[in-house]
Amino acid sequence: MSELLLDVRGLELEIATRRTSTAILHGVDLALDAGQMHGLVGETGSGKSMTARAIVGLLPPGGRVTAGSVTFGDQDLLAKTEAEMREVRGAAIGMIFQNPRTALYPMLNIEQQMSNVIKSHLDLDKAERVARVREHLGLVGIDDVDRVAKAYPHELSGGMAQRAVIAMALVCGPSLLIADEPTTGLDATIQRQILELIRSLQDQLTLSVLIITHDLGVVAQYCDTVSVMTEGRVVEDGAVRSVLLEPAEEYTKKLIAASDLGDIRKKRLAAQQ
Amino acid sequence: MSRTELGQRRERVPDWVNPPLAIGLGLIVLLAVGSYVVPALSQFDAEIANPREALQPPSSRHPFGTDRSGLDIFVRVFQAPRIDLTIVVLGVGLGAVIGVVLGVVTGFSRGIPGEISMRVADIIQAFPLLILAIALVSLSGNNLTNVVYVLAFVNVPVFLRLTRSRVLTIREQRFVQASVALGNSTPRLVFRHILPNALGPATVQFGVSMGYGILTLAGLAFLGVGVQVPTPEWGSMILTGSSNMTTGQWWIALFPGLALSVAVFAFNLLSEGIEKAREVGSR
Amino acid sequence: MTARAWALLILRRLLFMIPILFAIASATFFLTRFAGGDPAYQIAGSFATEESIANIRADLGTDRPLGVQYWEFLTDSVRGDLGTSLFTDRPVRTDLADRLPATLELITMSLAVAVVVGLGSGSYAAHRRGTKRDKAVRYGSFTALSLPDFWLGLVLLFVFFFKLDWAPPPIGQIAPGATAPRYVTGAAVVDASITLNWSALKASLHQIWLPLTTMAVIFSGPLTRLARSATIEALGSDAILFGRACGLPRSTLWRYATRASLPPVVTFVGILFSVLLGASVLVETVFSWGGAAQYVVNAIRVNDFPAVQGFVLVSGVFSVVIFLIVDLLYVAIDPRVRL
Repeated sequence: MSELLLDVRGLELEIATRRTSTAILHGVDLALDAGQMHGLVGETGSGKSMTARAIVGLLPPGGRVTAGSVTFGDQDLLAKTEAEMREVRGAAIGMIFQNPRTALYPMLNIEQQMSNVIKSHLDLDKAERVARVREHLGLVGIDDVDRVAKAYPHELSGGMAQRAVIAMALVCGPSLLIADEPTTGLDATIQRQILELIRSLQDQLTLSVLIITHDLGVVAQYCDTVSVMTEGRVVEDGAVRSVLLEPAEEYTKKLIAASDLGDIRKKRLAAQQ
Repeated sequence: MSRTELGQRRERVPDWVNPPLAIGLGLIVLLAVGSYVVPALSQFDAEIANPREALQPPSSRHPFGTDRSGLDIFVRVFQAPRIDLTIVVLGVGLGAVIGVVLGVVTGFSRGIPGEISMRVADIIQAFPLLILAIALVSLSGNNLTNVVYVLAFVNVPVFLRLTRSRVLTIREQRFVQASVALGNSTPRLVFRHILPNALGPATVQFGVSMGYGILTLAGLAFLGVGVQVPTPEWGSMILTGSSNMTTGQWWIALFPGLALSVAVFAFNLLSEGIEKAREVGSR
Repeated sequence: MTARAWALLILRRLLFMIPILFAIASATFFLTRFAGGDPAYQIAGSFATEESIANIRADLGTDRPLGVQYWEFLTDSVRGDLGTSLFTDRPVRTDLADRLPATLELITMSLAVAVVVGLGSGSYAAHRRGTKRDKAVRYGSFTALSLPDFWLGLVLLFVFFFKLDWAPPPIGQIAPGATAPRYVTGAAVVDASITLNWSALKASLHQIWLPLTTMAVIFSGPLTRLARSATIEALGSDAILFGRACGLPRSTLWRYATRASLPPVVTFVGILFSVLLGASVLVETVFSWGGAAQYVVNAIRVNDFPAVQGFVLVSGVFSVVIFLIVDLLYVAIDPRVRL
């Protein structure tokens, strides 16, 4: 029986500018069990990225949570101060985004950047940090660890960069990884590799994953559970099989119909049963 | 704000009007108009000396005091824009026009002329421009016409570069290529499509260059270059008052400098306003 | 970058500089001849005869064909011979060597202060974007860049010299009667520091603080605006967001943002530096600083042809060197840059 790792209830969020404030999330519920990969799927503008950012407290300027709760393990994340959240981010919850080449800091090499992350959470000396960096670069499937460690972000390919980003997000051993559209913008073959990588890391590191995507195919192939979002609300959630094979809500049905799941979905899901 | 309760639209201020634009333009217009209105209303002439009233501190009779020759500083400060604004508009304007034209021409035609013009612009910009300005004006005749030419000369490189790089970007865009495919002739292409777009950064730069131009003109005048003595001009007025600063007659140099700062401030504000207005237009 | 890569880069750029320097020398030659009148008339005076003018021309060498003069100018310049000043009767090279250090010292120290103030307040404002303090910084810098430097110098003189007596009268680098440092470079503060002469250091700092403040105030205006917008852009970048998501502390993120905002600031300082070689004449005049800029303006007034030519050439060379340094700094700051 898996335990509940991340519990989001009734999350409401607004963005305030000087003149107006717009409500973005209207009561989002999300539950993630330990060891699972949970997909948060929806179209652009549905609020899925905002939800993720609200969980780790990385809201854009003017963003405010107006109601709801976010519980991670036994910790109330919304009650934490910014300083306390800095300790959570990277050490307990890792987060990666789209576009790995701009996510990496262009002026330091991979080893230096990862070392900075380690320094902010763990008490290791230089040799231990270097070892840890190399270990994690190996974990994400990089063969030539030495070259990549000394390389600058602009010298890496898209796929290599995303692996480095994943390594950097996981280097301090968080138990939850939030991936916001991690494969959008990458070539199709690379997309598969990255997703397979995340899946295998789940087993190796006992990692839970919240993956945000607009691609139902990704959800069908890799996720255990899914939440469907639109216009700031979760309209349906549950095990991937039941939601995608027997959608209860109109919106979910439309989403499935508009995607190119078709027969492939049926075959895969049937094979999983 | 722009709708009545019944939802009917009232007349409203266009989106592109913003505070910096309004204030900047307003100040400039005030200065320009004031340069004719104030001297007309004042009992004092800006250029006729009046030694009996020399070196008087600000009073109700002379709001800004008088200088060594008894000239009323208030009138002179307000009349100065006739020179300051005119010369700078002409000079920077001329330089901008030439620079933009050259920028479009070299940006649009491919190959060597573009590279050469950039190198030449580089070299011009490597020289100490103020010194060059002083040299060129002094040696070719210490008069205001030459100042206009020199101002134009030093402004060409900036506008050339700005326009050229913009044209280079635009040239590669789809709508240009589509237009060419449709058979639009080159001049039509340039005028209707490229020019308005390419002028954008130049209009913003114009305000900034005007600000620097005024400072340069005043600087030249402060060194005795370009402007002749009785003509009221902010820089030369500051020169007149400079030695008095260390003997306590502060008003002679202070007010022209304040006016100068306000004018430069106004142009910079205008430039910001134009930039903001363009952002609105491109949404 | 490895040491070897650096050495190769510098070498390549130095080689590339040669044709540019050649172009600058040529431009100097033709510009001064085009803009100038015939100095022989000025030197000869109002009652000159045809013969004396011809003699003077022969002396100066201006009666020879242009091509010959050009060639001689180039070869002389390469050897460092910039001719003799018609006004001071000394080699232009010596005149400039006497006065350039004072100008350079003033410019360098003012820019250094302006950069520190600019980066500091720009970064401060960027981190507090939209707040009242941000607005205050923005208005302040906007005003600062609108002020005429010579006027500000005069106003500060009035307040701090005439009214408060905190600053000395504007008579140059060292006041008469004060201890002067031993002559090493000709720049008083530098010389006093090098020779560890504390009383001379105090005296020279006392003389320089007002012109320095004048220039620093003015230049911190555009530098603050630049640093602010560059920092805002850096703060909004994906890299900073990801850094925050990894839990990096604020000090590290601040370092990241600041380094990313440096390139435009460095470029601008380079441009300012080369512009100031000439533009500092205004402040130098107000404070009687005795620098190279004042020298050349005077030379222009008296039609001291070789002096003007020499100064323009030297500052052209200076600018090219500064732009080279700026480019090298770029490479050091941003690994993505390939020159």
